[in-house]
Amino acid sequence: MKQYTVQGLSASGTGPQTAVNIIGSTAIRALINSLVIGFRTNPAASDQQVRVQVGNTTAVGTAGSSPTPKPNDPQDVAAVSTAGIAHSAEPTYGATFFADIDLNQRSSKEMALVDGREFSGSATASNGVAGKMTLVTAALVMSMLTGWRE
Amino acid sequence: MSLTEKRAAVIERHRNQEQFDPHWKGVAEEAKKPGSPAKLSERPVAFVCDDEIAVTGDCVGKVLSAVNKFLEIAADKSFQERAKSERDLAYTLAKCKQLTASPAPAELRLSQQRWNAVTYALSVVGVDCVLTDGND
Repeated sequence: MKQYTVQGLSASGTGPQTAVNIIGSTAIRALINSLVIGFRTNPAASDQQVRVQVGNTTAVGTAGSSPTPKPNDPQDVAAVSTAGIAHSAEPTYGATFFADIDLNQRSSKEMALVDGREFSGSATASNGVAGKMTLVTAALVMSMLTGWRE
Repeated sequence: MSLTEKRAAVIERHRNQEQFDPHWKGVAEEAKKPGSPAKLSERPVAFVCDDEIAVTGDCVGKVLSAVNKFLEIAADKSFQERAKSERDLAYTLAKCKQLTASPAPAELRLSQQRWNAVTYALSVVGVDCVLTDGND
């Protein structure tokens, strides 16, 4: 298995706004093992609560751009999974989430998951794992570094 | 709905959003890239289909001209020293070049792994794609 990384920003808004969606295929599913969630709005003037959800997606929505996953080892081949960031139409999420947490806008959260306990997509076309912010009062931009094995 | 109709719908939706909401002109960080169209409606639209990514209409032309621009840059030796997964990239882009040779391809379909090589080439020349559903 190889390790890849993508970093992305959500579009600006009051939520729901997805920052990064890692999209698998019938041949492969991404095992998310590293997340760093933060907020890039500058200045971080609003001392507000931000609800962040990470879960499975069953449709990719419409991403503003599709950055190339970066192999952690530069000698590795390109990733099979694709990535979407800065969505203009949200991906379709499942009813339950891997993480449904609350952060302050001025804070950040790192998650490192050990082998066997990753957040996993299903091996189905257009299915993936994504993170979004929701339910904020003042518009902001969410940032998310996402690492996975495949 | 055909991919061509879906593409027209995506572009139309983005045009409407840009008209009423400046946030949809693209995330600021992305829009700063040289050569990158700030507006989502001006970016090539790519569809996630079964294990492959498809572009259609004049988005094919946009992608291929960006790939050609990348190949010109990649011919520079100092760039080749920086490029990763070069064999994979060269193979993918050669396939794109073959498609360019066929008369006005209406659709370009690439496996997801190859698509990542294409997006790498596109990002080097400052072109971002809009990735969207192809199957719904």
